[in-house]
Amino acid sequence: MLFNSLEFPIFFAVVFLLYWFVFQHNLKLQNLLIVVASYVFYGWWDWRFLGLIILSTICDYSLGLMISQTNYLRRKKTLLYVSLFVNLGILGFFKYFNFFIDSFVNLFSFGGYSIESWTINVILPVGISFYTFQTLSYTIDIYRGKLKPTKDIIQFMAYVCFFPQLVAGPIERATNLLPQFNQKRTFDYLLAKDGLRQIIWGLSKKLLIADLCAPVVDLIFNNYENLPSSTLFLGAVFFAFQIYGDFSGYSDVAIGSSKLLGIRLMKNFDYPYFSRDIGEFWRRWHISLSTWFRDYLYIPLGGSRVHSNYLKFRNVMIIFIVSGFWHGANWTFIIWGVLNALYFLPSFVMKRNRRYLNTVAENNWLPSLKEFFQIIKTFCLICITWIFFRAESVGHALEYLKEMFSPLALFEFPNLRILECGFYITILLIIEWIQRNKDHGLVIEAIPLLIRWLIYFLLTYQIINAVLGGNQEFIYFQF
Amino acid sequence: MRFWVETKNSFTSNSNMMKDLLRFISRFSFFILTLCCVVSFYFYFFVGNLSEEELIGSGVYHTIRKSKKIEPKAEVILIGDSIGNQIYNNKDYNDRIYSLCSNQAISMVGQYNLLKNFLETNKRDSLEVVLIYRLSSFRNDLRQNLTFNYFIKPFYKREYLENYSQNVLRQIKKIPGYWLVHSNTVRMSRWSPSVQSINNPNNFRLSDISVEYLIACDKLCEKYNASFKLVAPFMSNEFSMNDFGSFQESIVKHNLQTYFSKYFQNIVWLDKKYFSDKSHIKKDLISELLGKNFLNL
Repeated sequence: MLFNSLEFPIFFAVVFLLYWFVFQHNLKLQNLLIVVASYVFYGWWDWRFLGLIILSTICDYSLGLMISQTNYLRRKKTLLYVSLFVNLGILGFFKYFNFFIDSFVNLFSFGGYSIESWTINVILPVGISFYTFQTLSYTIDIYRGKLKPTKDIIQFMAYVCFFPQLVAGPIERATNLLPQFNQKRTFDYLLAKDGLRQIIWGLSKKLLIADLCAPVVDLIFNNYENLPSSTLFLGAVFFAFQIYGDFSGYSDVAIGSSKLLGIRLMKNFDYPYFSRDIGEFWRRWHISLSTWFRDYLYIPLGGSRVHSNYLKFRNVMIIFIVSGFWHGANWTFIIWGVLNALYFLPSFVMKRNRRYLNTVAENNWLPSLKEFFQIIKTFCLICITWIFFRAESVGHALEYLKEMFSPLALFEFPNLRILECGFYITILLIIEWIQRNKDHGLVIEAIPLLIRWLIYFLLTYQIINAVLGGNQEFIYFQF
Repeated sequence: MRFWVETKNSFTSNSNMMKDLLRFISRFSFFILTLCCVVSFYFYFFVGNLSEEELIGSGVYHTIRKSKKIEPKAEVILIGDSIGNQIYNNKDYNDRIYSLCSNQAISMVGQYNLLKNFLETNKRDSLEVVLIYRLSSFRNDLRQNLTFNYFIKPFYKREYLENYSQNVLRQIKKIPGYWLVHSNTVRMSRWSPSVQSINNPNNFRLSDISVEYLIACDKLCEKYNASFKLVAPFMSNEFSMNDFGSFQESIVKHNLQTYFSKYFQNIVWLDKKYFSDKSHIKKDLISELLGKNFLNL
């Protein structure tokens, strides 16, 4: 089920009413409702893949209990490896099987050998990378002694499949989400109101920015050979906003919907396009994934505390490459990761990667000239990486870049909806700049009630109009 | 005593929570209701309830009205797409040659509806029906951006439902928000959902719907003692080198050779300089180039 479909508001209204009016007095029933609703939500796409979630859930629930019950480190380790094997095995099969077969065949062909390739038609289950990482964090945290396992399987099921964040995150940690399913939830009026605003904001980003940019970006990327370089540059910029509107919009709707059910999810985006360097960008973009990799991969590898520079370099490369590979079985994602690592390494080596921990232009209306150019520079570097992210193949990306940097035809634009996209992107940037200290773009209590309601009306009307006008899937569903 | 206090506290917090919940729901309902009222008001007075002449695809409504008229003089009935309409404009040809040509966006199903309207109103011993259809118009499978304004609004009505096969109904239901057309305000507005469609002018193919309703038009003519013929209009010579192989294969596959026997050889190729786009002749050249009876009907 898509957040931007007509079914979702009806589905959510039913869940909301049952949750607060019927099952409010019984925590177990409330959790069971979440599980049932989540399975319906997921099964709406394809019920056959519910089996994978259930398998992963039962496996990690049992392994979590077993790890905590044993006192032998070796046995704990073995059980953790079983969890890693099952979860990564499922993920590997459904997401990477054909990629490895193809790459293997290509490698042999490159060496002059010819082997027969056989791939199978594997459907990628929606959200598999998200819930796999979520369940993995549970067993790893128990192994490390950071978390006590839950004995209540319904509670654990609710944690794994909580529908607002099931298919595209934020990737929650058991330490944050699981205890919330163990507490009696009370309806918080202010939290719910804020949740509703965040949903409106998220849907606006998805429907008014991402979906508007999508056809223009598709057209530019599919016809890059015949378009002037200025248009190709715009294509990269529009894709940057398409993916931001799409993914951060999804996260906002997920966080907002959870707030309506009295559950707080972690922040996933923190105005990343106002970052002054790559380090800051990665602290603000897809926070739940980057912190996951930091805690479960980078730090176990030694992080930045290793002695040799080589090991530091290796750790950074690994984390970015794995992050790229997490997005999909394609070399474009790996190169995307490598590029980000190369951008990040200079400041990391010079120990300047944590320079910007505060908000840009704090207490000022506008950024300084230096900050402005830093933001533009970071954005341009990121746009180049997005070309690899969006392209069908590495060849496609390289050709696109070549055409983009060919002698500029600055003011040649084909008849696309460029002005419309530009208009909405400018509005987004203005609002986000003003709100850059706030949780999301619609934290606007300070504004007079009448104007506030007018903003809600306008945005909701545009959302309804866009939903009725047909909807597009979220990009991150494929990951 | 302690138990009582706890129960009382829990009761108080529960009743507070209920109050908050009801406050939230009532405010939210108020918001939605106000929004609905404002949107309805806006649609009713500013967007909807336009006259048929003000709607997108107003020509289709004109053709529908024309298809329901009793016309004793009419001997040759023309149906077809916008190219057919350029050659035999439905505003000018109202005599022996009676034009019901409109637009490809109404699809072959729309052509069938117009023809059925006319034949049911004008029962004769003999009539000649000619379908003027450009090659690319055959690809219409009701999955276009224009379908909502040109087909669903004028033709998704009770009076036409019996004409539709399961295939057509399935395609209609794929248009997002198609059901909104039941609201008269939406039907009489310029609003339409956006449908992603591929409009490659070089894509020549026969849609299932075109096949189904081309045969249906022929059978309808047979029922009402009319002859049925398919003719090709002019085309830009930039398409003359195209490979129509797969189109011709579909003709054989669906056993449509009778309709297309002379279609390809009768296409009139004109230089692309005469065209305002890839399909339509420049307006100022129409009468000079096409003459009064271009197809010698």
